[in-house]
Amino acid sequence: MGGSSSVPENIKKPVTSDKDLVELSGYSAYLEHDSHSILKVNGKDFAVVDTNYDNPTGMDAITVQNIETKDFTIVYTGTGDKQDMITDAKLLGDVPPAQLEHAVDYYNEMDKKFGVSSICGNSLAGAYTNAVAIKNPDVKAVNLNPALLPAGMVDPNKTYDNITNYFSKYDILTKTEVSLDLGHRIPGHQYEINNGVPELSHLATNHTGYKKGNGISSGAEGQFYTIGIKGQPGFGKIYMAADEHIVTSIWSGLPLYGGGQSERIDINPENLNLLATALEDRVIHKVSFVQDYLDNSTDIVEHEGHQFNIRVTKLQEIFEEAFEATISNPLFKGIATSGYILQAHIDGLIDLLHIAEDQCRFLNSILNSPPAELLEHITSTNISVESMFGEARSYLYSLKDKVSELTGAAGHIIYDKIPELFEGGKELFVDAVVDELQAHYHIIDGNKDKVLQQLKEYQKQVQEVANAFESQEQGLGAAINGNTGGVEGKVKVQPTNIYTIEESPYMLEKMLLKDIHLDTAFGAFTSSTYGLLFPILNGLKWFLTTIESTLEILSGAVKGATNLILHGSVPGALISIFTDFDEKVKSSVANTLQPLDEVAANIEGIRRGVDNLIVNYPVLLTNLKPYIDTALFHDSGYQNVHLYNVAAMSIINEMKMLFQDIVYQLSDHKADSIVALRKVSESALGNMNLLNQQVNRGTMS
Amino acid sequence: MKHKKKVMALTIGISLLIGGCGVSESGNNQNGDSNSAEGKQEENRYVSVQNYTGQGYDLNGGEQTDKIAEAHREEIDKAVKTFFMEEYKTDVTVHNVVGAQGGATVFVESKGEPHFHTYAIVPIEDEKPVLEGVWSQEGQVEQAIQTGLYRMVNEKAFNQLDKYLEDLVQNQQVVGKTEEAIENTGAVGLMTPYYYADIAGDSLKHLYTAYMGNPQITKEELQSVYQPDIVEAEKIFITIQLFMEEKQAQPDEKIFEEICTYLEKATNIPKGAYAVFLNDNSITKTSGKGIKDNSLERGIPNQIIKD
Repeated sequence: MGGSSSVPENIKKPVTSDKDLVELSGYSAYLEHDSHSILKVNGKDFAVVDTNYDNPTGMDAITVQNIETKDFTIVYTGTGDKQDMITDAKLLGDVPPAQLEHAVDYYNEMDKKFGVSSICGNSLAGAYTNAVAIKNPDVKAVNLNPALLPAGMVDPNKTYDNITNYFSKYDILTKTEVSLDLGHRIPGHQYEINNGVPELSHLATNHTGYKKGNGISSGAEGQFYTIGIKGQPGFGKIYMAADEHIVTSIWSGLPLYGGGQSERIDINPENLNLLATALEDRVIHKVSFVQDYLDNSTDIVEHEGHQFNIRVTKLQEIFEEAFEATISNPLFKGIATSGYILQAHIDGLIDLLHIAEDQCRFLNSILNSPPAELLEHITSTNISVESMFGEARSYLYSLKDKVSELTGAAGHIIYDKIPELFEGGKELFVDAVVDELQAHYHIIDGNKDKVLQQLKEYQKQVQEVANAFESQEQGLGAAINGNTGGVEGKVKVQPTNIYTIEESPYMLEKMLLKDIHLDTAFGAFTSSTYGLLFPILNGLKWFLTTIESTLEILSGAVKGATNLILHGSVPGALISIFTDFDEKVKSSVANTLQPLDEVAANIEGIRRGVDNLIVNYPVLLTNLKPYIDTALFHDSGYQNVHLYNVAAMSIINEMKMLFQDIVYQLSDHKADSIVALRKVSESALGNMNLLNQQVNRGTMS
Repeated sequence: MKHKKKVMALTIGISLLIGGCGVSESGNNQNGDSNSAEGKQEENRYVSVQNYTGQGYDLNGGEQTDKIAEAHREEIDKAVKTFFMEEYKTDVTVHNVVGAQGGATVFVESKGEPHFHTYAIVPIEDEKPVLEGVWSQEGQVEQAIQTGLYRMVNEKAFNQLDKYLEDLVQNQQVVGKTEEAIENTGAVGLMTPYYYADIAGDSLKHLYTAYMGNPQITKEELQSVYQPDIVEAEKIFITIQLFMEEKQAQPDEKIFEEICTYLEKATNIPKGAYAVFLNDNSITKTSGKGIKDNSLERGIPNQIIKD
């Protein structure tokens, strides 16, 4: 370790970092820059030294100089003209497109003039960069989501260590390239970074790594996706600037991907100070985003929880509506709640039956009193249908009972079975999906605070150890020079507290939870409602069919009897000519049949409704399923919980990478203080790991 | 495999399109010329500097946003003015609004002193400008204000530089850009027809802080807080940019040398890193740039440092 305060040799010369190069390439500015104007990237000044905006192939580029390090960078950009589309097609072929040649020419020109040390590009411009870099192994090339090079340009036997390609986790271009096994046409290292979110609407900006219409200043501020709806719970931001998601060593600035660790550093006050500063700026600051994201998730979940009654009621209303709509007969309006309309209507039918019966009696009396001159031809007749009327009436009364049963069953489904759809989960929650999430977030909430607290204390410890080292060294120096009596021995350091991450027994199926619950609950709902409804519906159907046939027989009997009387005997025609007896009978028959027909028509309508329900209940259920899904947890809210958790995980994963390097750097040092610091950093890393697993459970994948 | 390639081409096409490297529909019209025939196209990319006012200037991915910006010009003007007043306590005039990818770039000029040109960006989302979302690129406005303040505290030296360049234009076959071109496409900071200045680093931060503390600060007060000793000449970029007066003329070596020699020898011109560009008479319309392959230039890394 030693007490050297000089800059350690193994800290690399400060060249333009991957982060800055990614921002330069993905965020090529709003202006066509003038030569000798200044660009700021992550707080550093770059002077534009050359511009190439007017190339006939549409290959745009600028050359900039990092004012601090003096090194030169070419930033290639794609342009908005025709040529690019032609190039796109050619990227799949074997002919090197003109743009790539122009990119190489431009590089050669600039390299001759300035000595270019790095080049960068995004998308199509990433292909320019790679075309240049495979020919110039000394230039550092950094790309964000590059396009492919034409087949045959990349030598599969070479590693191209000068090239680094960052693939955004949710970038469609590089995803496609790799999934089609064409990744070998992107030379050099390929690292996946966590910027972006898995949402179709962000396809474009996931690819470019930046929202060009939004600001960028002091880090990621200004580069974010808006999540949720303003004024509603869970409304917030997810930061997305690509360079903010590149993890580099605190000490060397080199990327920590591909399992690569940075070279061992000396532990001295300067390097400890670097660590303390980085912990503040790059860890604690970022972990506060994690807090934000998780708080937003919690808000969404809590809001859903408060909405429980509304969600249940809504689903009940939807079911009721669907139920009535399936029957598709206005008489069934309200069937699921009171069935009053149908009941009253059946009463009306019973009344009609009474009317028909009265008419029938009247008909009998007419038939029994034919005019005197016809008496010798006609014997007294009686249409004996009284027992049939009685039968029909009693069926109608039974029908009323069956309707009541149907109402009861539908009510039971609505008031008991629908709330049961929500029940379940580990602890037989009333609102299974929401309650389980809530229980999970309750645990995460405490854990994330612990992680942050631990990191803050760790940062303090590192800072205080750094200060102590410094003052001891100065003290020693002074003591050796004889200026003081000895070394100031009193050092105060933040004590180490133990933070234990609480286990969560929840969300073991992750966000699939909802789907799993939906399927189970829906299955149970289907079979139990079938069990409830179908015996009743079949009973109803039997009664209705029976009533229909009884009515048919009744009207058949009425018609048959009069036919026999009026047309069955020879003088019938004669009678018709001389008397109004015929007319009387006919009108009386009509009066009898008319209410009977009406009843029959109504019964048929009701039967059709019941048939509809029997046939279409499965369809009703299928259509209901998405509503149940939404009622379990509002779709977009659920998706946003997923997005926030993905975003939180991205950051925690990045912090884990950083901490792995920290642990590595602090290992194998003999000084007790460094051993102690290493132990704390290991503990923090372990806790981040655990938190990460828990946050992961809030995602779908 | 053939099918595979098709899918691939489609996907890549889409990504690049959405990524802003897509096809522009303007094709022949891209140069802002309505009557451009195929053969004339090359010629029409350029315009004489004396006639250039910023016409045809466009930015990457700005075809759609341009129209939206134009339709909302009044609100944008107002929002940008408010933005500069609130963020930088400075009253500005809006000269031009140009569509860019996902937003519109708004060119402004400060009223009075400190005098500077700069720009702000209005995001455009769902076919509408996001007026409450006006922003400026990292450091750009701060730098622009600093160039204006730098001129205020070095007024004499700048007057001398101005006088030299005005005499030069009088006596030689060279010209500068038009005022309109600067207003409509200029955004670097301190700008005149003959040069522009931009500043890196923090060595003028103290002037900026003083101005922000009191926007009404007088030249004298500024001078009293000015610390010339901490100003790093190599981080003050002063770029002289001139054009040949004659349409067909090539950049004149002798005039170019004369300017360089003057700058090397001159005393009492502002401290800074000077670059010199002498172009022919033409400007590329779409980019507003005069520098071409035939331009004579002395820039990074051979600037003339006046310390």
